[in-house]
Parts: sequence; C-alpha cells; structure tokens
Amino acid sequence: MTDAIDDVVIVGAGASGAAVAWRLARAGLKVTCLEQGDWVRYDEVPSFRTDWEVARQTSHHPNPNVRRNPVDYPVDDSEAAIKPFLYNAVGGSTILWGAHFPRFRPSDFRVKTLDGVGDDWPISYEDLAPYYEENDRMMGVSGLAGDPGNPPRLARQMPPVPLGRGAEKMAGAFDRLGWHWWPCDVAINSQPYGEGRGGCNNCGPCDLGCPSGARSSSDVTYWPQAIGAGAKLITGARAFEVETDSEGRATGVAYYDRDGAAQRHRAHVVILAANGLGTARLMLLSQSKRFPNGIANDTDLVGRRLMHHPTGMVTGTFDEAVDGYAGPFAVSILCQHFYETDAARGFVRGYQMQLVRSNGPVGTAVGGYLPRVPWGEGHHETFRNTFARTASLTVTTEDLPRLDNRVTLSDSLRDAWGIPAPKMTYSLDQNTKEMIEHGIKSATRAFNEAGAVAVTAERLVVNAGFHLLGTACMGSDADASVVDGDCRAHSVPNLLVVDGSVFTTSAALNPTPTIQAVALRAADRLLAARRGVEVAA
Amino acid sequence: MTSIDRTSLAVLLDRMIPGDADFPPPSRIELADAMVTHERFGAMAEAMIAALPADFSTRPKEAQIAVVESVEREKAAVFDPFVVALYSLYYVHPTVLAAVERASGYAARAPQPEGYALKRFDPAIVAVPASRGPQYRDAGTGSSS
Repeated sequence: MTDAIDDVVIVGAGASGAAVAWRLARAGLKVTCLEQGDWVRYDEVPSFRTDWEVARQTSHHPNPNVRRNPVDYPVDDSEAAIKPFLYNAVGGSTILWGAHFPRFRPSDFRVKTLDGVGDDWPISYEDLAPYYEENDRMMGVSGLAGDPGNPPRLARQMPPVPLGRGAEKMAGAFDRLGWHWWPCDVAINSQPYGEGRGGCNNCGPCDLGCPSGARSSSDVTYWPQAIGAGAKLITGARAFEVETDSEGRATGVAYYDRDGAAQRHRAHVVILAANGLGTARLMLLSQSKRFPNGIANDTDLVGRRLMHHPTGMVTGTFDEAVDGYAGPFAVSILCQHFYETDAARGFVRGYQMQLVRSNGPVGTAVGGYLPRVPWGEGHHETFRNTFARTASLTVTTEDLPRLDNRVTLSDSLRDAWGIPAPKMTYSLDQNTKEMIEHGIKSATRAFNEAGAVAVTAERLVVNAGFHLLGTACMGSDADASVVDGDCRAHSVPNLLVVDGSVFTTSAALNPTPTIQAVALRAADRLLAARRGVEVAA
Repeated sequence: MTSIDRTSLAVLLDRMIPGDADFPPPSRIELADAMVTHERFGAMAEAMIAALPADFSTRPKEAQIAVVESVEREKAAVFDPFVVALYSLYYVHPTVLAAVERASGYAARAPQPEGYALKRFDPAIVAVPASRGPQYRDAGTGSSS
C-alpha cells in the first residue's frame, strides 16, 4: 500500500466528482480522485460505424449487467422493478446521458411543508441558484429564457437545439390544449462552446459518446480544468473501503488498482461521488468497530430511501415521417402542466412529460419506446409503418422516499475483484402508479390532438434506472438523515457525500444540474469551514 | 454448433424475418453465420437452438412457427435476448440498411461524422406559452409565482 496524503480524496469522476474536484483544486487544495473506469476515446465511439446500434445493445448498453465491460461492477437487481443504468468512466454516467438539463423548481425542496409528504430539504432553490448558474457556464446550456414554468434566470449560453418535426407537432397540440410547454434546457452545444467543443450535428445517439464534445460530459467540461488546476485523477481504481481512525474520522480510501493490488490513499477529507448506488455500496462496505453497519450509518439510513424517476412511455405514430432518428435523442420540448400537486387528480406531487425523438432501425425493431416489432409474416409491414414516424412522451414521475426501497450488499454477487455487488430492492407505491396512469391519459390526449394515427403506452419503463437518488439523504436532523445541508456526514465530520445519494426528495426532473449545483455548494461550504473541520490526527 | 444446428438456426431466422419485396430474408445475407460467430450474440443463438426440438428444420412451416411461439411464451429468458441479437444483426447489415433507406429515406450510413441537417430553432414557436404568466408554485422561500 502507498501512503500519499492529500487534502481531499474523491471517489468517482462523474458529474459531481468532477465539479467538486475542479472547485477544490482551483482553491489550491491538493485533490486526488479515484475512478474505477477509464477515459473515453472519442475517436473510437460507435457512432462512426454503421453497426452503431449493435453497440447500444452490447458494449454501450446502459445497464452494467448487460454491458459487462471489465471496468463495470454487477448489480443484483433480482428484487428491483426498475433496472440500473450507469456508466463507469471518467465522466461517469454523463458519458451516456441524454443531457436534459432542467433545474428543480423551488417547490421541489419543500414537499413536506407544501404537500405533507416526504421531507423538506435543508437547503432551498435560492441557496442553489448561484451554483446552478456557475454549473451552466461550465457545462454549457442551450435553451431559452422566459419559461413561465420556472423562476426567471440568466440567459442560457446558447439557443435551443433544433426541435424537429415531432416536437413541432406536439408544441402545437400543447398550445391548443392550453398546456405548458417549453424548449428543453440541454447540456448540448447548439453552437460551438467551451474549450475545443464543437456544435451538435444532430447525429442522434448522444448515449454512445459525443465525438465533437457538443454533448456535454464532465470529462470534457470540468476535468480538463480541474487537472489544469492541479487535481490528480487515478483511473482503474476500484474503491472498497473508506478507512477511519478509532474516533470514526475518515483517514482515506482503500482501493484495488488496475492490477488488483490493494492501495490506500490518505487524505484529510474524503468525498464520495460514486452515484446513489456506488456510494451507498462503499459506505456499507466501510465497516469498523465504530461503524459496524457501515460508515456514517448509525441511523440505518445509508442505502435506504432509494428513489428513481418511475417512467411511463407513450408513443404516437404519425402517418408521415417525422425523422426522429435525427437530433439529440432525449431532448426537444418539455411539458410541466401537471408538475405541481392538484388534489383533484387523486395523487400528490406530479410529473413532467419530456418529448423524446425516436430510434434507428435496430432500436425501432427491438422496441423500447414502442413494443418490439413482432416477428413473423407481418414484421416488415409493422416496421415500415413505425420507423421514423414516431415520437414519444415520457411520463416522468416524482418518486417519494420509502425506507423499504434500498441498496444493500448482495449476498450472492461480487465484482471481478471479489467486492460484494450492490443489491437494489425497489417497488412502486400506489401514488406513483396513479400518477403514471394520469400521465398516460394526458400524453395520449396530446398525441391525439397532434394527429397521431396510433398511440401506444408502456406503463413502466423497466430499463430506466438512470437516476439513482436518496441513499445517503440530506437533512437537518441527525437522527433522520445521513448528511447535513452542506453534504457532511452527521457522524463523520470529514466525510462528504456529493452525488445524488444526498437528495432528500427526487422531484420529477432530471437531476444532474441539481447534483452538480449541490456538489459545487458543498465544495464552497467545505472551503469556508475548512479550518474548523475535524480531521484524523 | 453442429451443421444440423446451423441449418436449424438458418431456418429459424427465415421464419422470424421472412423476406419480402423490399427486405431480404436472413438466409440471403448469411445472418446465421454472423450470429454464431458474434462475440456476444453467439451464446444467445446457442441457447435458442438448445430450446428447439432436434427436428425443427424438417417440420412443416406451421409447426415451426408454433414451436417458436411456444419458446417465446415459455422461455422468455432465452427468447428475448435472441430476438435482440437477431434484430440487431439484421438491421445493421448493409443490404438491409439499403432497403431501409429506400423505404424511408433514412441514410444507410453511420450517424457520424456527417450527422443530419435540421431546421434551426425559431423563437416564434413559443409565442403562446411565453404569453402566459408564471406557472410555478410559491414555495415560500423567495421565488414566487
């Protein structure tokens, strides 16, 4: 084992790890980040090949249990209604994301006060607003000011990405129905922005990695600047324990290097940024005399309150081509008409409807947005009537925290180095099911208004566990949460968690801007309080 | 995989994706060979063949279809990955992509480096929603509608 000593060691080089590394390194701290994966080589991404859709089903599948790349860890999802999506690389899951970049609404931080469910966050929208702005500048956002569905804010860095014919049809339908809609805020360059990053050429499969850097990911935004400021990044580092002293203070992180040799990286402060699955796993693995159930787990809340964004999918088929294979696949316009609680609807909280484009030929045939194209005599006719003629609305619901939805350590599954895999136990509650049903009716109505000749609904997209939230939740009460409003563990003063694990509630919006804003704020709060942080001797 | 198994696989693929005036049957583009030699999909083909009766390829067409329907219904863990493998390899074959292009205008090429031309965003399209007042909720923390 080596004995390097840094100010800070971070586990995970994804959205939040990159942001916090940049912030702390720029302030002069000695920062090292441990990342299990490697740098992505953009000259080798599959979208340069005609068989790019095979990669989507194999080496670039978002589910690590399907992908099974050497750097991945498996996930025991045998008791999970929604399957995990994540990526292990510098950039983390921003390597394969769709880059939808909405901010949470002010009400999302106050659900207990406003609606009597979940818990209030210990921080507010206003606390995060300056960090949202700074993060927008770092990631680069295309969008349009003036959205009546959200508080006023500074202009985005770039105009919206092209909407496409499907979105234009749906925008007209929303207008006729009197519903809110607005162009999505997206972390995709509609024109060149950032160091060496080009503009989007609408190729479609953002999830395979963007060779021009137009689709933002933290390996091309934060990391070059973080490294330029002195941060050190160690790839191929598979963390297996946050080490502590006899007082329970963090002393560093133990990990296996890419050769399988155990290493230790010591630091005054440990920051976990390995997503709601990986961070909970590492905390549960970090058992000691002081923390027999895992570090900072006195309250048995580490791993609990797992939240996704349970999603229904409604697809409209038109009698003409809308060419949805062109343009960023996940983003065009967003409807938040049903976002806030309305008691008349029979459920609390609400949902967004996000218009996604469509698939290439393989994606159309194997299904996803639509059911699989049936095999047999009618196969080609169904394919011809579907391909390039569809658009889909997600019904993305707010998932309320429940103790039974959780991450634990698997009894039966281990990764390539013998480390227990995380196990997800997850089911939907009745409120969520009713919300999805309502959303399906709403989306169906919108497609009918838009002139779709057929509308198909999928009541739960099983392969949609891309937002892993809540497993080390933030709160003011040390008996009812894992970290405080500054992301510091209540029971370990020099341990921070800065990824989606800390979300008190999930909102019904894509979380990455909020994850990064929380991380940037945590870094600032750490810097401000640094002299007072109790570290190991 | 034995030669008999390969024969069964080729027959199976043609039953699942029959050719028509535009699209070739898998046997015409030698898809069975591509599948059994594929790093990931080969195992799925093996599993599917193992789920079929040994005399599958010599049964009447209707009986073959009934067998496949049975596997689809009763052995989803085998059938579903196999369909992904079949459709994935079929729809990236150059001959099939050319047929897709003829049918839809979709360019039979890689998405990069050319990408696709799309009409730029026109702000006039938001005239209706932009005319509405604030629609977010007062959270009592400073940002109010």
